[in-house]
Amino acid sequence: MMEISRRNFIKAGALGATALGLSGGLLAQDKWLRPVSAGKDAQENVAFTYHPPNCGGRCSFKCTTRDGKLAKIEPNEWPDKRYSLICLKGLAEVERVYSLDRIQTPLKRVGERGEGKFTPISWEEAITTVADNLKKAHDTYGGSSILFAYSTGIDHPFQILAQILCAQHVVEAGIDMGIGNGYDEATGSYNVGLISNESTDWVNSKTIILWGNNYLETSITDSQFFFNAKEAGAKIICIDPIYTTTAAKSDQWIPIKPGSDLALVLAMVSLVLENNWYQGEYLAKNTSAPFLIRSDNQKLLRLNNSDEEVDNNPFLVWDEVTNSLQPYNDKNVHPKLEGEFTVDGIKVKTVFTALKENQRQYTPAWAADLTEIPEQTIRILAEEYALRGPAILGFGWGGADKWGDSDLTGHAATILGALTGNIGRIGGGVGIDTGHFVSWPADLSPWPLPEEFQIAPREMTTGDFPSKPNNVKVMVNMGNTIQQHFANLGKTAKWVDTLDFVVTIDPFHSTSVDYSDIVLPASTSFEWEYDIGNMLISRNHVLLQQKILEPLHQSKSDFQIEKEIAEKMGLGHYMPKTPADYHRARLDSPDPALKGITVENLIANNCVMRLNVPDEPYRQFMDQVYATPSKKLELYYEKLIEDKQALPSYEKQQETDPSNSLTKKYPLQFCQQRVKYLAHSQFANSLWIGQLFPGPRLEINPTDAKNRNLKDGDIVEVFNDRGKFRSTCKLTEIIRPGQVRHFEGWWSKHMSEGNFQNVTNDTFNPRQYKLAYGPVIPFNDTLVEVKKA
Amino acid sequence: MARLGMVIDLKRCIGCNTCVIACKMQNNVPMGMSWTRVISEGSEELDGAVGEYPFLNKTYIPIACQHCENAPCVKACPVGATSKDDKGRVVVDYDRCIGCRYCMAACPYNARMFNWQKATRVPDFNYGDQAVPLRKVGIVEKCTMCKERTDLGLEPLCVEVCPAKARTFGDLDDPNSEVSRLIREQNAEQLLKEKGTRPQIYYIR
Repeated sequence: MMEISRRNFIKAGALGATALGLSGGLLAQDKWLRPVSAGKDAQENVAFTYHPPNCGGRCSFKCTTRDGKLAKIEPNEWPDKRYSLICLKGLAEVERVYSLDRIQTPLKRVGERGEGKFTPISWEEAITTVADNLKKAHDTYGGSSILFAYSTGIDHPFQILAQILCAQHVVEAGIDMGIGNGYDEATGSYNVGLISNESTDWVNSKTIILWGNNYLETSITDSQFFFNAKEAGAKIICIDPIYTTTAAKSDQWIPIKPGSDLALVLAMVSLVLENNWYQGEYLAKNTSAPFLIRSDNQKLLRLNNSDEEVDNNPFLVWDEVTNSLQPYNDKNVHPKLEGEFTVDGIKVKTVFTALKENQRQYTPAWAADLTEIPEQTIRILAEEYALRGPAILGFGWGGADKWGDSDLTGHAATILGALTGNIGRIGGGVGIDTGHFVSWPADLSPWPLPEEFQIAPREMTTGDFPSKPNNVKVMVNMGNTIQQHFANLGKTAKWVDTLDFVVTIDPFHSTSVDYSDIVLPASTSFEWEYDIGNMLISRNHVLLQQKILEPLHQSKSDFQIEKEIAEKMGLGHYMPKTPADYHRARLDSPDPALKGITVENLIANNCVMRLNVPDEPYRQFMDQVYATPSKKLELYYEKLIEDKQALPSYEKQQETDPSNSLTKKYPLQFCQQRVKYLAHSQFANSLWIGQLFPGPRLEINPTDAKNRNLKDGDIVEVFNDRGKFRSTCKLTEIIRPGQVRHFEGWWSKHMSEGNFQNVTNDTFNPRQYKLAYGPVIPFNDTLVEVKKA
Repeated sequence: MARLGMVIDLKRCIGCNTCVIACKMQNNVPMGMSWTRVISEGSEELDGAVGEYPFLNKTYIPIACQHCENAPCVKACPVGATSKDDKGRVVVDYDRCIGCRYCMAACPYNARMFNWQKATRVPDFNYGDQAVPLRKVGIVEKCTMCKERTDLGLEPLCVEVCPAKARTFGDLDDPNSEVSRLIREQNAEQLLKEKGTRPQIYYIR
């Protein structure tokens, strides 16, 4: 029987206080005593839109306005009905659109940067100031002195203006690419580590390992695919230090010591090798495992010593049939997977043999020590992954990805997937698996601009701007990027203060707004000056936005703001006249997936149409042809030979490793995690969601709290050498002893004091400059101490 | 005639509270009130777990009016404002309700709310389905199983929006309905069965 006391019911029934600090005028409710049916007189309109991509969910909405107000949001009906979805955040827009946090007029800074003191100005003055500053920087220092920094929540990030100005245009450098650095190198397909198979393919999996992946809270609208797979017989295993909802709903939860993911993957690789659970034929045929490593320089053996392309200078393998060296791509070759040979006096061995040798040190017992997972659990995990059938190794972006060794974890996981034949397999896959991001692609055309206009190459990863000389003088900031896209906010703020000019474009007054010289009030995605708003491709469909509301307050759409800045700079003739014009150009594409999809057809189909793509789930690499130079899955990374990481080897975490003396001073690992109630920094100001979710909390295990004499509700100071912040203490068994958690995204004004980014680690791993996405910000490799404030 | 009911698969419930916000919007529920809520079994906390790390359990249970067949609120109401309607829903006649709150004391599920004061709505207009009646100060309100939608043949909004597809809605009197099948095949339970209220909301564990 269910154990629910009446007290449970009552406690859970009491929602947040109604005292909202609103004035009487705003609450005037002269209509609420009307008879029951009176509301039906009101004029209702229905239009369709989609939710912009901050969480990645991209739900399509049917919106009802009544007397010009957004009264109702419901899921729109998609051609593929599985996607007729919405979550609490989409529904909560009915309130958030009207939030008191809306920036109502253009603003000019009157205090210091970061202080948050502004005075309202006219649009004319605001646009003129922005245009003048952009022009001055462009003419004096060149286009690359302007940095357009935007968050993923920005649907229209001024791409055209940035291109015309030849400026830098950056989203989240150093974030959400750690595993991708290690995986994409092998496939040659640069998709920030995204897994190869759509989540609708999960039903074909036998084992699904969700690794630091809180899928059921961060990909809420994909949760049906989790349960469908489970009901179809997949065993779902969650590896996470924290007892998340995903851990609770999985068949097995394996709690792991924070930061030890690499050790666990390496031990799994060792177990697969020593037990012969690998697929030799797959490795010989589809991967670089039979390629030969030269003992003299650790490079792969090729036909000649030049750097010519692979077609002219192929990799060599040892042919089993002729017992001789042959080009790997010879039609009749049967490469030997294992062995050591001598070629012109130089010893060579296969990548596979080298892997076996390198893996000997990574025993399950060694990993058990580092991960604090019992050895037997590791053995069973590896066996179930290798032998139960098609298997998924699905990482999240918030766990193993946010450590300085994430490239190695991604590389080792790729090898594990390759050993077991799980890449390019129905029901298989390795990589970032967060649902919605993976589906059939389609290529929209770019907006036509003269050749000389090109986005400037990113000068450096944005995390280096605060500490390395660079050309950036002006920042055009869209979203809460200053807080969210950098660790160590104190240092970031000092850099921002050196800039000549900062403009922020945002509907809401988030933390980043406070650092700006000019603030432009953007409309939300529901408000447009035009009948048609933005358009994007997601989940095998094209989605379009219609105007739901006229822009509120003095706000303007991102499209309109970009256009007006361009016009003021004398560049208006390069811009599309309306969003619909822009989308017509984008849909004018040779891609057959877009055939028949036009703005007009989208409108006629309630703003959602399916791409002309096959009915089956999207699965990459099914033909075992990869985008690498060899067209094979390349497991040996020559570019990391100097770093002794051509095959992944264990590496200690820079800050949290127990051997670091700092662990004595700051014994707790600090983790910032995304929570279902927010989409990163969005919805922190939602009053509807705020009735459920109480606000910032520093969560700590009761054992660690007891040692520090902390109790529920205490205001605590969280600190290290980088900085400090204050939050409300929450004792919970969900958190692993030795770790503390603070949900990410809260704005400084929601905190008791400071900002959670004041403490986070901004130290880069130098090796990662060589990799596709540059160094990862190791947010999770952060030590803190907590005390009563 | 029908006996409308719902089956909630707790294995699938992820505690996302989408149903809570959907209900608030659809039914124009003001601040400080919620017709439906998601509790964590055995815990008084939001998203609470039971046990000590790492031996933990967490089960979410969404709870609203159970639309009991043997509804104690119906019996307790001295003026006949609360009744079972012809589709088996427990409904409140807002014009008849005298605000005595006997029904609230009688309900073992704490499913009812009282309008103590003038409603505070943020935003400050009537949102949601315009067919949903307004409620005045001094009366009781609760889940109607989205009467205004289900009368049109639609599902309650909490069912339609559930992202994990944990909720199934239908006629308990129809042995071929999906709800009847799930109750039969999956040993669905009722909340506080020992109270004899015979809820029309069933739960699968």
